[in-house]
Parts: sequence; structure tokens; C-alpha cells
Amino acid sequence: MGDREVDQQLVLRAQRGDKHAFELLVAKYQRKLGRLLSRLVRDPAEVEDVTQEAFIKAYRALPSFRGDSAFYTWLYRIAINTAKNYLVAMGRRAPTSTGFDHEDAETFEDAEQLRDTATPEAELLGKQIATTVNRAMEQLPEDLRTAITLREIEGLSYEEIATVMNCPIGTVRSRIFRARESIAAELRPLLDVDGNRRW
Amino acid sequence: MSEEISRLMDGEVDGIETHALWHSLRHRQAMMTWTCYHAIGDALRGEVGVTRDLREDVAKRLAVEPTVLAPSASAPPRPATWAWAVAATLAAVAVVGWTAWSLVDATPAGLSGSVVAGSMRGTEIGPSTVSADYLLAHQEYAPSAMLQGMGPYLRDVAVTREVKP
Repeated sequence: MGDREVDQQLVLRAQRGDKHAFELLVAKYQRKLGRLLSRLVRDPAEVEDVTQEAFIKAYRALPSFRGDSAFYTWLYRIAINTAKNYLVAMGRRAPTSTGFDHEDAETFEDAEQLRDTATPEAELLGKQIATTVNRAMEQLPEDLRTAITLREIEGLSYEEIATVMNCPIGTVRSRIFRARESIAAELRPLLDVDGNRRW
Repeated sequence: MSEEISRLMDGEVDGIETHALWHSLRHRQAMMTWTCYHAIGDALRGEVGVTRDLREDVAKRLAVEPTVLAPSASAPPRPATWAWAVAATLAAVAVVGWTAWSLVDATPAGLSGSVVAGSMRGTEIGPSTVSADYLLAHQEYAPSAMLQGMGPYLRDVAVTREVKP
């Protein structure tokens, strides 16, 4: 079961009336979507509003989602249309192009472009998160750092990582989990500040 | 639990385990772990968001949304009307065909069976068993509908008379 199958299971559950399953998708994709929308809507408060609206529109449109494309690709289209409609309603001109196509929605390799367009506040917030995670990564033992890197950045499966690292799958599973837990210990205080969670 | 969530988000769990884990993720702590682990992945890929956590705000709005109930994409399609018509036609043809075959089959086999039955009856009901005089004497009590059934007996009587002289 890959990442797309995990999403598909959550979508199926949401389509059967499980709102919590959709919340798990929100938790998974809100950063990615917020980052995408910040290219169209510069103000962070407006980005939040449009991101929320995009998720609600996606939830309402769930019966029409048949799984022909990846969930994020479908969500991406809804988000772009929501942002454009928002800008038109606000009397602002919507960009004719977002600068990246649907294939980019799958990989989203536009970090450099976004750094140029994000607001100073958003950039500072992003830097805090990135600094914390990078610092935690540096403190990890080599085998844990390699395992989490191969998984999160290279996108390898556990089986592929086991081959690369020449160790059993159970060891890969344990290393990735321990790496995540170590980083999470540093990150959690940043994610929950006075009940107003941030990234 | 956190290790299971770690494997779940990587798609490294089987179907039965997945079902239980989705249920477990209803608990706040498990949900926080799910959110945190995904945030780590996003940060490592340089996809850090520019907004605060919107999950609870979206959840509040979802709470007042009508629950969506989409038909399952994997549900088998209902048979079309023509399919029912074809099935009914085939069933009718099968019944008629079976009935007709039974009749055709009964003709030779049934006839031979009747001959055998008739001969056996003729053998079993001999003049010593039933008196022909008795049958003739009581023939008037036999219902007219039974006349066909009297044929073998009448033949037996004729045979008996030929034997007597």
C-alpha cells in the first residue's frame, strides 16, 4: 500500500460519512496547500481563509471524486479555482497561470520560487520549523538519519531502504520511527503554542 | 501506537491493521502524532507551510456541513433492464425445452415401458387370480372413465376363452 492508496482509503471513508477521515487528509495536506496558495494570495491571513475554503469545497465535492487522479492533484485543482474566485471577488486580478502544472502538484518542487514570494512573517515561521527539524536531524545517529532521508526525501519504500542499507525491513521500520520520534520531540513545542498551533 | 502511525503514513501496514489504526486516529494524541510526523516530512522536503494549523478550524466547519454519502465506486453495477429480460427469456426457453424434451423422451421409452408393464400385468393377473366371469359380471359397476383401464383385462378374458377349449 503506497501513499496514494493511503489517501484513497481516507477518501473512501470520508465518502461513507466519516468526517474524521477527511480531517486526517486536512492534517496531511494543509501545509502543502497553504504553500501553493501563498503564490496566488500573498497575505497569510487570506491564505488561511482560502485554504480552509478549498478544503470545505473539496469535502462538498467528495461524491464526484472517483480516484482517477491522485487525491492531491484533485485537491490542487479545487484550491487553484478557489483562489482565483477569491481574487476576482476581491476585485483583484487572478494570475492567468500559477507557474506550475498538474505534474508539479504531485511533486511540488517549487520551494525556491515560494521563498521569493512568501511574506517576511511566513518566511520567519517557515525558517523556525526548518531550523528545528534540521537541527534535530543533525543530532540523529547516522543510520536513523539515512533511513528517514531515504524515506521522506527520496520516497523509497521500506523494502528498497532495506536493500540500500543492507538490513532487515524490521530494522528500517524501527529506524524511521525512532528518527521521527526524535525530531518530533523537538518540533512539538513549536506546533502547539498557547493552543494556537503553528508549523 | 506511534510506531504504527509511522508505518501507516508510509503505507507499510496490511488491510486489517489499517482498519484498526484509522479508528485509533480518532484519539487526540494519535491525531497530533499523525500531524507532527507529516509536518516533519514536509519540513524535510522544504514544503513548510506559511499558515498556522488549520485542522481544528476546518473540523469546526466540517461539523456543520451535511455529511457526504457517496456511492461506493467499487459497488457492482445494477443489471440493466435488458439483462433481466434476457434472463427471463432464457428461463422460459429452458422450462419449455425441458418439458418438450420430457415428452419426446417419453414416447419411445414410455411405449416400451408400457409394453413391459402390460406384459407383466398380463402375466401377473392370470385367469387363476381373477375370474373373467367375475369381471364381466361386475363390469356395469365400473365408471365409464375407467374403461381405458379395463382394456388389458378384456384382452385377458379373450385369451382365457381361447385357452379353455
